[in-house]
Amino acid sequence: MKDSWFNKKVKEITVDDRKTQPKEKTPIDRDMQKNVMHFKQCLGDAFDVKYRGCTVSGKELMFIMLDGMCDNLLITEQIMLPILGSDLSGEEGAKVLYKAADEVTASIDKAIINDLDKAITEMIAGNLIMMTQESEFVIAFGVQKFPKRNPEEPNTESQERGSREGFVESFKDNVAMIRRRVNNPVLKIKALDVGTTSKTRVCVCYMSDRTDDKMLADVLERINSAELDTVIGSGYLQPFVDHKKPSIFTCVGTTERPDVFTAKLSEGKIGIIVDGTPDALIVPYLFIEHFHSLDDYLKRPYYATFVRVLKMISFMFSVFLPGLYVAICTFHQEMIPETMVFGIAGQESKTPLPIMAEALLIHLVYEIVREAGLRMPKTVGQAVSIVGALVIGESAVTAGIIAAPMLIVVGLTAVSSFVVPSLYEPVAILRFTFIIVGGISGFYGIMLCFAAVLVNMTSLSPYDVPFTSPFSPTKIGAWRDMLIRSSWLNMGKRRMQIDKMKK
Amino acid sequence: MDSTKGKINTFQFFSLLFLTRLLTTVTYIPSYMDDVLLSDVVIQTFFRFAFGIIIMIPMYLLYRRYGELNIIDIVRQRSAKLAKITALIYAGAFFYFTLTTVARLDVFAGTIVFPESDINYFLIFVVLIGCYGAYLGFEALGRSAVLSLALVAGAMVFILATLIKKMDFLNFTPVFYNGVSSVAKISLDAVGRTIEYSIIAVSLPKVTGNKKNGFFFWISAQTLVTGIIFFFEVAVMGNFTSTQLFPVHSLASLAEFSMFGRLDAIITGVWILCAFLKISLLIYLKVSILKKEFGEKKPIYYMLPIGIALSAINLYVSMSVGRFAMLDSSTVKMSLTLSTAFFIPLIVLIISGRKKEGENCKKSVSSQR
Amino acid sequence: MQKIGILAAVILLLLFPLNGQETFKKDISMRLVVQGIGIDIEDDGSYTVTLQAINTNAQSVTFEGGDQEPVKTYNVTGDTIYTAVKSVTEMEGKTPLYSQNRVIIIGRDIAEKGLEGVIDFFVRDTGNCPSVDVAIADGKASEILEVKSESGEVIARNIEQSISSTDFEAEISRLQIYELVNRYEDKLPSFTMPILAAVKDGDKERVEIIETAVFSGSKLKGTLTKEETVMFNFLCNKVSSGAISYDTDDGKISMGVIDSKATRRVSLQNNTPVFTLSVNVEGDIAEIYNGTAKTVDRARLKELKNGAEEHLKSGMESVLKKLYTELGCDAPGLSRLIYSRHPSFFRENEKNLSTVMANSQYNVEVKVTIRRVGHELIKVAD
Repeated sequence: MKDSWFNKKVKEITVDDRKTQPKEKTPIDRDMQKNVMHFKQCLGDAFDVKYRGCTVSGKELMFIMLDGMCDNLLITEQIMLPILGSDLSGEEGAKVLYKAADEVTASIDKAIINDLDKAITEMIAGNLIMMTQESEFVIAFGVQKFPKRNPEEPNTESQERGSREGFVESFKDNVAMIRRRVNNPVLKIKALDVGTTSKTRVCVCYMSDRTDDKMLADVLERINSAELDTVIGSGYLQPFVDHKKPSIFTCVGTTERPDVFTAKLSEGKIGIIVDGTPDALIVPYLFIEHFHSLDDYLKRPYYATFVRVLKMISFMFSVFLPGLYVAICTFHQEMIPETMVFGIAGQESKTPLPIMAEALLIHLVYEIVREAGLRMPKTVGQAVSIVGALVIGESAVTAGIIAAPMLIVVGLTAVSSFVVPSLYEPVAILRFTFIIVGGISGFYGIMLCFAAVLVNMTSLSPYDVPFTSPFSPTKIGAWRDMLIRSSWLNMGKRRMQIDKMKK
Repeated sequence: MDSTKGKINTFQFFSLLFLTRLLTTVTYIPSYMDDVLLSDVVIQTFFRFAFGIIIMIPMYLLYRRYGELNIIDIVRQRSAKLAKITALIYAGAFFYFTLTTVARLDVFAGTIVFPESDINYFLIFVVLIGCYGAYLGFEALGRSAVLSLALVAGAMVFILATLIKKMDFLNFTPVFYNGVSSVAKISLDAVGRTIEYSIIAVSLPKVTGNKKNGFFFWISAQTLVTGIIFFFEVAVMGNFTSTQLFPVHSLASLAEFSMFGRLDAIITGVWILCAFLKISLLIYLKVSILKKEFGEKKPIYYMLPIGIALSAINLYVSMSVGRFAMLDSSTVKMSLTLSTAFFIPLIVLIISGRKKEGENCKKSVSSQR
Repeated sequence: MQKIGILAAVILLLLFPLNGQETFKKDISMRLVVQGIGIDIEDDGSYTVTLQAINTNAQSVTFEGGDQEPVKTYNVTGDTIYTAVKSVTEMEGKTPLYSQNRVIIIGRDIAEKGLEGVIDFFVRDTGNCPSVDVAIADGKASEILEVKSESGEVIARNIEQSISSTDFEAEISRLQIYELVNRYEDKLPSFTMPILAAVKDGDKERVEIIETAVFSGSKLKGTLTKEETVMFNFLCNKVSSGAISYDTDDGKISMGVIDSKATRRVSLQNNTPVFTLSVNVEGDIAEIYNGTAKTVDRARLKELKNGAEEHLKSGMESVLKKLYTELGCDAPGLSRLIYSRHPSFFRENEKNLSTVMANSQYNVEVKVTIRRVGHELIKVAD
């Protein structure tokens, strides 16, 4: 466009200005030039914002898009070409847009917007904005095409059986994966924009025939009232939908698998998908669900039960074993089996550190190695495990810095903690706590600490559903899918519902 | 404190009471049973069942008449001042039992767990964690009790099962060899240690479900379990029982399984879990009673002085067997329990009965006119 | 308020490591792990305590390479057992840990004088395990614990394993501390425990259980031989496995005992207790030594059974006679039977129980069931 009004320099609206600007709607001006100027003021000299003005049948049209976020070919073939070749005479103002959108273009995804700021947001989200003179609204065409990943199996949630699909960063694709699994209109998806700056699209998913309305309203209210500037990942939203009490455990589950997500929705839970991150949130998430996996439901019940019990035992090992070892060696030596007392006493006497310090040190080193393994590039990651296992483990024992029994304890603890990865965070903290408490006050302190953790867990009731359900309060009916897993012949008769576990 | 003041169901409530009573059994010191022979120690549990039923009769009748009101609520209907006094009595009783629970835990820790150390400050920790448990509320305690019951039941069954092969039935003495009166006396003494009856008196409105059945189930279960524990004690240890400060702990140290020659650490765990629940429950009840009568302030305003008083008194008593013996008086316990569980409800029952009679009389007089 | 609470919690937490409690000194590596305790009494009344503790500097629990013994033995003296064992802390710089103690060996001198002074320490001290085995030394307890095993094993552990083999070998009468106290507090206190002796076998030395000591009250009254101990264990229902040998017309027979159950009843006849001890023994014929091979037929089987029954009956009767008549000890605990079944009789005769027990009648009934005879078949005919 070579018109002087388009090339006029405009003062960009700064961040501070935006903060002082009122949050009311900015209506679309009937003067198209003013609307375009507003776009330029808000977006400044962004190189990727493209303005394409044209005159069709004497009517001025302006198209605005974000290069890199739109499918140029789609725009050209389905929108531009048809409009440019159309006859829009006889129409004035908004009717020009109606005719262009409804009768000329082949695009299905379109929306009418009467708020200028919303139009800018939609444009940034990858929509093509079309406006004309004498119109109080604009049309947004959905022509997004931005770089995105193909669905692939998530690394953090491998299953032996089940689909190999995982969520991706695009919320539309994620929603499509869920829709594919529930071919029923009861699946509802509410879209919200969260984050004053990022306006990240957040989808709240639920099944209308089984989700508690109060719970849904509560979740929506919490998300809407979340005071966030940008939402980069689902973790930003997590504290807002989580319980409000100080606790080491969270009542919000995460998953990258659409099948797991769908299964949780079918239990009456609410799922939250955040654009830009493959981790979806599930509320409310009970403690026992950390020991469930999709494989449990796809395998034979007896094996599934065995695996769940194994996970529970592994969790106990990962939390208590180091602390118990320290407590037994320090305060309760009578518990050491007679065949082991010589070995433990002999080896521990040769190390320079007291047992508690030894336990803390080796666990700290393990956490360092683990964190390094996570952050290192994959190509170098193997070297970290070799360093960790051989150099630190083997050499430390040979050098007499730590005793071999302690290394066995650490090894078993580490392996056990990977069996229930979703609980790794609380486990890591609790492990250190129990080591310190065990070293200071033995089994006595460990039990006191355990009691405090237990009562803290039982005090959590997110959305009126007790965190320790269905153990306590006891819901016998729900025990068919607790530690044991009944056959689908039994479970299929009556579905599990989270609102039945409410207090 | 949980501001929502949630209720718990009967199973949770009586699980909580079962564990708090189990603590009394597990931590009993045989010095007050010197007059009684071994078999009678087992028999007295069944006497206790009968005494327990009798003691709860006034409370049961009040429950039938007033439904979902606790004893203090019923007294408040008569007089607010009396209600305050009643509240103070109950709070005082609960405070005393909290003191003795913490003191007993301290004696145990100082004698068995840390015999060579000076760990009396540790009881401050116990009180702190008890206050934390109380702060989290009745619901949290109720739910914890159910989970703890599963753990405790498993632990006790495991320990007792490993002791079966060590039983010698010749350890049992003839029943009532020294007469029935001494057995009845220690049975009544044991009832005096059961503050749970008083807890029922003040907690009824917070419990949902069939409380009558729950109560009978609870009293039967705790009688049975106590009887079984004493039975094993006598059958395995015999006269050795009376030489031990905490015989149940010694019993567990005789239990062996596979390569583990002693299982007393399990009893330590059971003890501490039950003690935590009892201390938290008693602190919670004190605070809720006082809050209701003396103003709905933040729980910390009641909890702080209670916690400080508990810690201070126990620090003074700690590590001195003489002071502990003075504090842990059977007479005081029996007086407090019988007053709060039996006599006060009985008096309230009689007074409220007279009031009702008076009202009925007035009604009949006015109807005759 | 919250910040004050957090600050208070942090200060309290700091109290633990900063209070000078030295929790680190309680590590097992800093403790003297006692495996055996021996107690002797000197002429002046002081006690000599021999402690056998794990040598944590040794390579392993058995002697393999290196020149270090797996255990160290300490001899300490004191007015009381407690003062004696405390002094070992000065020697080694480590406090003793009794909870891993395997065996308590009491010198013969103390056994003959009375065990009252010894028992209290092991009952009162909370570190001691009540299920520790107790044994008597044939001589000094220190001699037993100072025996050096050729294979470098821990002697105390070997002794404990030998004593606990009473489950497999009926020649040992095991006693643990809690059982000792239980029987000691009886109306007619009496108990048995093994007697250990250091036996020289050429250059080598080993510890053997030679006899069973019988106590009345707290004093050693007499001993039972190994054969007598077997009979005693049958009477007390303590045999779950073992072997007996007896003579028949055809020579010596060895029978492996698979199971044994003893029931004891008491009745009063003419104001005298009559004890009926019924012992049911199940066993397998392990060996028949008669010089000629003979097939075990029904008649022979009956002979073997009768022979075993007679042997056991006479053995048990002679043990009962020795215990009650000669030694005056109620080691089988039969007075407790009168106490529980006939309390009024017991109350009347409480003061002269020993006499009552000595004058009581003891009927022993033995029933032997031979389950197997090995590879031989029993002939059905003839």
